[in-house]
Amino acid sequence: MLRPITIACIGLLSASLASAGPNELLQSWKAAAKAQSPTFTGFSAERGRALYFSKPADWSCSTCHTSDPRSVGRHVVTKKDIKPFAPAANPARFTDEAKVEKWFRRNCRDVLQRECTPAEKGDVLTFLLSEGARP
Amino acid sequence: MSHAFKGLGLAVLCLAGWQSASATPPVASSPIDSLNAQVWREECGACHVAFPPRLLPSSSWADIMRNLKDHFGTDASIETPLAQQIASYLEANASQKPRGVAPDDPLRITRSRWFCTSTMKFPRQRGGALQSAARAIVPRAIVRPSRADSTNTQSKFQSEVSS
Repeated sequence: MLRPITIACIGLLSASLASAGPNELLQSWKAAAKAQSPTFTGFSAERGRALYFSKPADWSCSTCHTSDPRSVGRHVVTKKDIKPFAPAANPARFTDEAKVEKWFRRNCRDVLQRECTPAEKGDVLTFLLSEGARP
Repeated sequence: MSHAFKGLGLAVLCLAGWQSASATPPVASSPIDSLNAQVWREECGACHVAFPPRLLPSSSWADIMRNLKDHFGTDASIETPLAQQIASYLEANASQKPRGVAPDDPLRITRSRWFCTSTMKFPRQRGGALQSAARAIVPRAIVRPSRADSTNTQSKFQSEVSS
């Protein structure tokens, strides 16, 4: 029989293997952005903010995630609550790479009618992280 | 785009009361079915109530799963292995009565016969999908909470319809 401490160690190990974090994602998008554009110099919270509020067609990010991404959002169609987008208000955000990419793919197609570039994803995450520092 | 989805939004509100009232999920017939049910609940339930498979026939579910990139106006695309698990669960537990769906709109639960033939009336509203859904009724089999819960669901639904 496995001792509880062994089980706890296995649990911790598997959790650390499975989880990334905002910084790991930024690193990965940075490498991809550099590969796509030699002129890429870094992410920008300001560009991220502009993208977050831009509304090229029916929706913007803020339509569901609200004008303050630290607050609970609401799906504009189904009315289902959406947990806060900013990691400061919801530490589980940006810890599962597959989930992050899935939602960027879907939501960028809905808002921009195309997928977001690695540079744009990094800008948005940089903006969201900067929102954590705001009082 | 959001108009096209409003009927679903209304159905979500109806079913929310039913789902919160029934703690037990739909009965899964095998371990594989049970695993598939977990994926179905997590993925479909991420945006709306995970609609029970028996609400539509398998032909409707197959159409829905084929077109997740444009799922009632939004992109709900999903990785193939997960999509296959969800499709299997829906197929295995789908309604056996294909004639219940609206011939001109076989994917929309709010247009199916069972949804449109019960007795609770909702105020008429301007607008296509919203209007038709607003006329629809919540069958007792679906909204089955206590009287207090039922009243809440109804008032939430009606405030939604009139907003």
